[in-house]
Amino acid sequence: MVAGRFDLEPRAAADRGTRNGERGRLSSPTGARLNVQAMVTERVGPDTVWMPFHFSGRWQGADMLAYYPSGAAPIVRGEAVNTATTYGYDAVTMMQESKTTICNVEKA
Amino acid sequence: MARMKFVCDAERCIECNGCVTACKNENEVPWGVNRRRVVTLNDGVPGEKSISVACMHCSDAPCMAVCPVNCFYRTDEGVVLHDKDICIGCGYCSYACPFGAPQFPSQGTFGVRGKMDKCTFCAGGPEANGSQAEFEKYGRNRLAEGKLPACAEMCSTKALLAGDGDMVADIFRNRVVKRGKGAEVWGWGTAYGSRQAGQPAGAKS
Amino acid sequence: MKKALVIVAAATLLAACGERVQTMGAAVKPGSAAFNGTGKAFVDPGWKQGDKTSWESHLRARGDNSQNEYSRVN
Repeated sequence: MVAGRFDLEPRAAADRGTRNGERGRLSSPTGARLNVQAMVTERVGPDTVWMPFHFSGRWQGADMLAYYPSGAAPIVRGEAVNTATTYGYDAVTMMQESKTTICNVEKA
Repeated sequence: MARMKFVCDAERCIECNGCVTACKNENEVPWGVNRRRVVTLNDGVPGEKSISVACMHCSDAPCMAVCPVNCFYRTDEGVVLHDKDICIGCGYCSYACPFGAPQFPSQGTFGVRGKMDKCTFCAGGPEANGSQAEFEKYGRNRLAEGKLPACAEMCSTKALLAGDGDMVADIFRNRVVKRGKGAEVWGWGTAYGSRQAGQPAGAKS
Repeated sequence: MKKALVIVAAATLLAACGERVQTMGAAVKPGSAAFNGTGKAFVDPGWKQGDKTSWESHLRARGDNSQNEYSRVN
């Protein structure tokens, strides 16, 4: 179980020709295009993906490794999901409203 | 006489990995080693069960039996520990252990294994109790501080029990009686198909 | 020819005489037992360092308090 990933249901993965561990591209109405590793699991429904937040190191598909001071790059580099989450923010912390973002998933 | 044991109640484990995080944090475990891991069966479907696995501190430890330099020893409480100064990093203990408890750090050059590292039941090692040397090599010695292993104390659902075998068995037996079934993923019933309380006849209990 | 064979046979049979002993020295020395404590004040209060029964009962009480909720509910 890789931490910087998104969860994809087996039927949805088969529809997109994505296998466990391969990369997928998530695009959302905000214009974000995330390149994340797919974990194929039955935890989510066929029309749902799940992605953890608090990851960084990739920006819209590009690996940011070169921008980190040497030795300081996070070992696990994932996409920042809040570039893709749609409107709905906590008034104080600006944390995204969870479970309301729509996105399109395709094989990267 | 305290005989230290781990029991993971698979009925309560929610795969939060709190035990994994607690252990890694408390003992500053080297990169590439996971002293404790959570194994999940039937992920995502009804009947999903998770169980937390680390060194079981076996009475007849296979790791101790195969070590060519005899670096293992058992304390009076039944905790299996080893001496990293004697360890030669051969890896035999890792092959012998059915739980995959002895592990080697991943940062050696040219694949050099380095010293074996494994769950110590938070009981440190041969160095002086609570010393800096003991912490750097083996992690925190919580038993010498009068505490129980970090993983069990941090478990969010109290699925993972650790401590004196009698006490742990009492707690688990209490739970089994109260809810009518055991863990359903380990035990005599799972291995040999015998009936446990509340299970239909012939089912894999 | 026969003399050479005798010499080779003798060398083979006596080869182990010059070997050094390969057993290890002392085995691992187990550290101090856990009930002896750490000798410092930064330990869980409520038990006496060095006293085995005190340590055991303290651990049992701690385990019961932290891991067994049936003593408090239901």
